[in-house]
Amino acid sequence: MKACLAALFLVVVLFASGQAGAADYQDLVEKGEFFLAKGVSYTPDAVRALEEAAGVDGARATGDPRLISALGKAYLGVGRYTEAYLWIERFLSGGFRDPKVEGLKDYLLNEAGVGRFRVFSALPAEGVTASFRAAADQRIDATGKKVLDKLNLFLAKPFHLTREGLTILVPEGRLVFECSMPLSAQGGHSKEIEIYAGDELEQFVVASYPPPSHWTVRPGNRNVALTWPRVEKARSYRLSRSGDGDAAQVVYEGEGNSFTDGEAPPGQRVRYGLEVIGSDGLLWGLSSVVATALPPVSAIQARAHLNGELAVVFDWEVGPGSLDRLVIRKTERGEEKPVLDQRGEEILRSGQIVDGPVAVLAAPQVVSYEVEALVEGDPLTAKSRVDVTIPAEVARIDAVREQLSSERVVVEWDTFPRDAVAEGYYIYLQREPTAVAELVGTLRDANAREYGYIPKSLESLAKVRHIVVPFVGARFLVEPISVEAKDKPPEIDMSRVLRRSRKLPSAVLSWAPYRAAVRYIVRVEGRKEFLVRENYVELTGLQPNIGEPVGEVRVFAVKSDGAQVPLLRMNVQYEKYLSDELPEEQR
Amino acid sequence: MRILLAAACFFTATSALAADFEVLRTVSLGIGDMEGKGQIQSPQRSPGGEALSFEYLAANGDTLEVYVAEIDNPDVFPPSLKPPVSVMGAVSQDVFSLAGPGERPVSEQAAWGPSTKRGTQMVFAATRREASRGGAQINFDLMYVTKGKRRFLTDHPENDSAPTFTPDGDFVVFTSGRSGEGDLYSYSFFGEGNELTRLTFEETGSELSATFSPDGKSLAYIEHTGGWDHLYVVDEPRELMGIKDDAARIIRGRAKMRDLTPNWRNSASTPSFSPDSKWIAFYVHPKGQVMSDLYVVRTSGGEARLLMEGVVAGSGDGPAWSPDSDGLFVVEENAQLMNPIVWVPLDPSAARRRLATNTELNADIDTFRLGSTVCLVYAAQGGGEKDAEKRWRKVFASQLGRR
Repeated sequence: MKACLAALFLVVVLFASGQAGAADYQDLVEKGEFFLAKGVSYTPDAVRALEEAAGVDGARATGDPRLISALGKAYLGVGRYTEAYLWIERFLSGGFRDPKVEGLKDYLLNEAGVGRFRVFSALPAEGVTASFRAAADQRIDATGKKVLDKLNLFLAKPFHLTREGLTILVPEGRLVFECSMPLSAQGGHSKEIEIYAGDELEQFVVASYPPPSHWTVRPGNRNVALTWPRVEKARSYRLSRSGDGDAAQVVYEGEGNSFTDGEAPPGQRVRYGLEVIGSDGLLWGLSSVVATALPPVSAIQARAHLNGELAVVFDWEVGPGSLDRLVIRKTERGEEKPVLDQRGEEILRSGQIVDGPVAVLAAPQVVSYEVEALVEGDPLTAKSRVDVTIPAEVARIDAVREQLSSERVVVEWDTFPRDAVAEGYYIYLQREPTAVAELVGTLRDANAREYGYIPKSLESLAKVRHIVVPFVGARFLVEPISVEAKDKPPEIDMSRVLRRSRKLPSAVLSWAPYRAAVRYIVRVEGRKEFLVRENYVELTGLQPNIGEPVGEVRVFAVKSDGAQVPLLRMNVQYEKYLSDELPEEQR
Repeated sequence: MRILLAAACFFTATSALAADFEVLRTVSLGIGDMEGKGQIQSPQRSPGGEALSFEYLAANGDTLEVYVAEIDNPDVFPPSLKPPVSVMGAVSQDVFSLAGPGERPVSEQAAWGPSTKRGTQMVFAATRREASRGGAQINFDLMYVTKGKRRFLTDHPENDSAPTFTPDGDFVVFTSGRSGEGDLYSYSFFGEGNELTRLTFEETGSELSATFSPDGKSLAYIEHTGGWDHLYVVDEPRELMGIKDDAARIIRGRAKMRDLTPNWRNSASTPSFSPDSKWIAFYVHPKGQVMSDLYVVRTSGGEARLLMEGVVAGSGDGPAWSPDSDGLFVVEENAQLMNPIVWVPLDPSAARRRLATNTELNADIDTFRLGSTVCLVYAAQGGGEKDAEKRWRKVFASQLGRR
């Protein structure tokens, strides 16, 4: 029930307001006619009343001959000739007819002292404004000036143009027409005209079309990709580019509606102007956009570190921007070497180089990597340099620590220098002090400092020790036992040496003197080489406590010219054995 | 007695030699379907000769309209007229009027302005709606017409009439009843702001029949006050029209306005300047006299001189000067001779001359030069035997040669 009443109430309100609106409209029209009849002084009041009536009911006003006739006369009275004409035309083009209205039109076109000036464009033009002024030395009578002033007020409000155009009533004389849109391909915005009553002049306007917001602009690496909407019946397009202060240069002419400008200066703001050439060969539309090709790259991020495989890992990332060439250089031990040199499309803006394994030396060394981004023609480039310190090789192993249990063994060690590196580490297990150590693990990690494993069997943990040997390639960095040589023949026999020092040499070698020899070389293969004067040598430390037996001991005679003559070769192999198999005095 | 004396003098004069003009030929300028349906008056040729205007009085005497007929070739005689067109336009509806279709307003007192690049221009008095001459509700405003342009210059409940152009066409001076009595006003075509300027402020008199000298330096008008008419001239009237302040204009006007007929106790009407601007001719209608007299006075001042008695004053136009400013062409009030046209030299010692135009009841003469000849345009009935029937006037043109 309540809903019905509400609906009924609404209907009544709507009806009443409609009736009130109709009454307002009628009153306003009559009011306008009243003011019109009172004379010239009241014509502005007539205009206001009639415009208000049109505002109340625009649809009705458009077809109401009474309002059109009165409004037309009122507009005439205040000099708004064009607006009077437009209202009349709208009325007549709506199929309506009225002798008074037609008489008004006839008067406007033939007796009001104005000519018709039709402004039109081939393409939709939005936001057009225009104005007229008297040409130099041209006098316009008072009525013409009033019409001109009112016309300029009307044309100052942005309007829309199409092929149909806008017909303007212009007072007689020589006038200068100015328009916000260009009037020709040359770009001029003004033109002098001479117009008289009864004349019909036309002025073509080049539309600002397509709108810049309809373009697609993609700045790229030294290029700008442009796409604009196709214009129906356009014959071709002409695209030009201009920079600050530079004359426009045509970069494209054709039927396609896209173009990639590969010569856009990086980082510089340029303007692209588009001319739409119509099917009639005339300039139909002008448009322009501003774009900036990517500026030269300005930032590069680079990082580098030494990995566990003694290789330098170098990462780089080039920031956004135009880029022609990427160069990476390495400086090592004072010598610069190229690492990477890329151009064009193959340039990797980001990447990683694994450079190694590096040579590990007795002293720390610095290896530098420099990456440079180059842009042709731009003196400023982006650079980044990273220095990587390659630590020295391990000089010795300090402080081997063990955590022993029957289930797991963990060996830790320190190196000297502390941050020294090796290619890897061999970990040996020596069950007894004099036993040959067995290899229990190999670590190929330059920075390793710990090794854990599950022992196979450990009868006694008290005598166990681990030996850690760093290596690079086939070279041990540390000798678990140093081989020493003494070339002075003993003055006492070996049994007396044994009693005194309780340490016999591993091997004693002598040979017949070589006549031409100035010295002799004693070489323990894979371990050391000694230069001795006598034909006698005592070697200690031959018995390794790790890994495989020694191998060969060779002796060479060195002649005065440096030539080496082999004299002696001894193959030494120690078998693994445990200490409890040794005599007591030898354990 | 005066009349007999004048006629005697006249005939004495004509019997002597040395009449200045002779009629070479006279033609009727056809106005097509309008002939015989109304009376023609005040024919005027445009300054450039492009057109001829005339007033056309309807047969019933109620409607008066100004018509304009274009002239095919201004440099030949006789001028060939195209069909006349009412100055109120060919449209059936005057857009400024609230009258219904088919109704005809009244238009009269046409004044040609100087020809422009666009052609002729004219101002006349017109009503905004259908009116009957002599009707109580009639109201005249000034209308301006040129090619492609037709608009009212004034809009006032009181009458605006008798317009005259300045020689350069920038202004129109006219008589308006808007300020009470008839006062002279100027309308500026190129004025900034208010186009109307009041020129005369005489509270007890009316200023009528304003006319400019051809050189533009003088403005003559009739001051009607106290039952009498005086001829006034304003020196350098453009200066007056340019003074924006009313008080200043009043003061300046008093210094510039000269009464050329002081102590005059006569009527006067329709002054006209000689082409050289040195003389002003005007009609006088003495009290108690049926006919009018022709007077002249120097623009610079002096005694007004009776030039000829017994003339027919024009409908609204002043006396017609010869192009050389050496005399006038007037219509002699002579019922017997059916009001002939007479050449009246300015030199009182020179003889007058009746012109044998073979037309009757002549009126409203306008003159113009065509090569070495002088031509007249006027309204008249055709020649022939005296006809008791009322016949309609036509437009005639006569070409005169110097004798």
